[in-house]
Amino acid sequence: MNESDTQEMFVEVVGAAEGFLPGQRLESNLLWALPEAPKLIEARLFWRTRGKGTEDAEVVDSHRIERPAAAGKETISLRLPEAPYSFSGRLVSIVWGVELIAEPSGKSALAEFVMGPDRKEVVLNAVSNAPGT
Amino acid sequence: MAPQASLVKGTGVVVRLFGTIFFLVFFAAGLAAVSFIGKQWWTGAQPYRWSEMPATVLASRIESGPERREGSAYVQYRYTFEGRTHVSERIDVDDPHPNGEEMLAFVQRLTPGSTATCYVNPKAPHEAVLRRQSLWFGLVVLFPMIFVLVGVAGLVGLWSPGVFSTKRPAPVTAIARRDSRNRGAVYFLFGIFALVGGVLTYLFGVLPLVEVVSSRGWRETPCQIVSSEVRHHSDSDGTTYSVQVRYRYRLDGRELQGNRFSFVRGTSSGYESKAQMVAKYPPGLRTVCYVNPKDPVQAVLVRSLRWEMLIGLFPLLFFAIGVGGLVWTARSGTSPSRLRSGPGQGGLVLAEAATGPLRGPGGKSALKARSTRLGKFVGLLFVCLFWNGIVSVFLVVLVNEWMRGQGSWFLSLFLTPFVLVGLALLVGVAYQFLALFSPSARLTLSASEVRIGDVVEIEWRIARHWLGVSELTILFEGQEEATYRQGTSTATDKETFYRDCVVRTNDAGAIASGKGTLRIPPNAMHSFSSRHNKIVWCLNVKGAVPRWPDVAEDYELHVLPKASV
Repeated sequence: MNESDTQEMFVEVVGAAEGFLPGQRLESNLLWALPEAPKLIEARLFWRTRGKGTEDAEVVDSHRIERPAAAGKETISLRLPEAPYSFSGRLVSIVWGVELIAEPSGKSALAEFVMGPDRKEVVLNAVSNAPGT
Repeated sequence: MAPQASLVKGTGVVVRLFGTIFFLVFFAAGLAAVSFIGKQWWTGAQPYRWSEMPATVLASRIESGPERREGSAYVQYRYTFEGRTHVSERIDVDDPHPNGEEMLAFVQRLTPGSTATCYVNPKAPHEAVLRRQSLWFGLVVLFPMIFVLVGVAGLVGLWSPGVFSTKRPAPVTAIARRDSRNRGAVYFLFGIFALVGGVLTYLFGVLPLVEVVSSRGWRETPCQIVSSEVRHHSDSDGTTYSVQVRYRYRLDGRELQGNRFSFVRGTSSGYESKAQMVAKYPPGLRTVCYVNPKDPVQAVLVRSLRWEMLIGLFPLLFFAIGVGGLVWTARSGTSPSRLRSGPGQGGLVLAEAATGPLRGPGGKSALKARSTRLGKFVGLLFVCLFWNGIVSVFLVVLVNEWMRGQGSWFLSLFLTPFVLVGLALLVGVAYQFLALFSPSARLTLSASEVRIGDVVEIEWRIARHWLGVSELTILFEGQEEATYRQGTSTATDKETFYRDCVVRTNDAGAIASGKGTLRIPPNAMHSFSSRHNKIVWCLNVKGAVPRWPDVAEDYELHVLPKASV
């Protein structure tokens, strides 16, 4: 899933449709075309929670481009950690993504993907109770 | 399919309207108090910018009469500034003739002809004062700041669309900044509690005790009671009373007067007890007082410890709340059980949790309960004391009124639910106290770490089983926990997504000790903990104990992700 508040920023995670394994390296294509050169462009590898609880997020890796041109493109490589898996429960879900953000304007774009064993998210309500319970 | 996140807080219009009025009142009242105290402090701080000059005391006395408040201090002094001589009668910048128990000693120190220090306004040299107010007074403004903060936080919480005002997820950094801001506000709130509680405890609890101890070295001096009465102090909250006794004594050839009865500060309710004290010191009575040999104008009639001094330790409760809150906020912010991996490491760094397993010999690990019984007992005791402490004040007033035949049915009915809650808390405390002696379970895993898909052995031992656990049930559960704001309070929802019964038995031998098997489903989610959301795996131990509080404890199990290939 790709989302951007303007057409000026774009990020793509190569192979997002297939999902990723924990610890795998992923490649991300970054594209930007801003009216003026930003001070910094940063790509952040993060997970965030969604659902009933207040959202939490953590950036686990990042790639900084200092004093970039107003327009440019770059392909970067980031390594995923072993956890947490993408999962979907009745109350809480975890989503992984790469966010591209320009400072100081704050313009951003992000691309989400799934990370988990078997390259799929864990669906909690599919976990069965042990027999006899 | 992942559930759609609710990105915009949904709050009814009516709730928002009433909430807005409520928090506006909080905000306005707090702001008014902050403005008033701030203005008072600023006025009192001005003499710190003035010039310190020597002055000669011309006259000093305590005055009373229709033109002055009872016990007002009057001091006239002369000083010279830039070659010109001035005479002033002003003692404080905001009160030229202050009154108060300490003014008698103040006036007696400034005998006519003696030298004092005054503070002269260089821009208006005719303006001078003898005393400067303590700058620590400015800290009082922190107390009404709590109301301002609550008002602002409530209004923001009600009307702010939050971080996620659009369908597009906001930058990840915004979430971190929000959390950091919220934590800053929580630190500030608890910090004020600790500061205000600490200051009040020091002034009303510790200082009187220190004075009692230091007065052991004061000189016992014969004195004669000049006057004694119970003084009434009325304000919007009602009437309180204080013991007012004046006595005269001689020391080193000088006749002095004292008006300090004991080291207890302030006024309080209870007329009868004070009247009894006053009756013991009628005018004309010859008795003894205790005089500070280093400052003979300081004297006291009763220097022993009095039970009213214990009331001065009541603000210690606020200090404890403040400090406890600061510690809790600091500890909850570190999320020690979060699984994280450093950038580029490719491996997993597991942060040991405070409730994590204890490594034992042979790769075994002992599990610890999520919350201790002692912690539950102390927590409940704290709430019970706080609640019943406040309710008992009103209850005593109500009972006294009924005994005087002036009972109010309205107040009685209003107070009833609060009293019932207080009684329930007392029962709860008694139950928790007995639960401290209930049998306890010791759980040991056959492995030092557990991963998704693993099968491990669990061993249990029930200590103090002589109390007779009639049935033991151990359940292995996986739960989601989600914490969110609901208006001004916080709620946590839990949902069990997995349950396995490890043992359910009423066989005495199997209850005392035994082994079972834990199977972590291969397609499940590992343990996860962030500030507001958790995946928790735990062993739920329930032991039915006839005629005694049951065993009911949860032991958290940290389930790691599958081993990387």
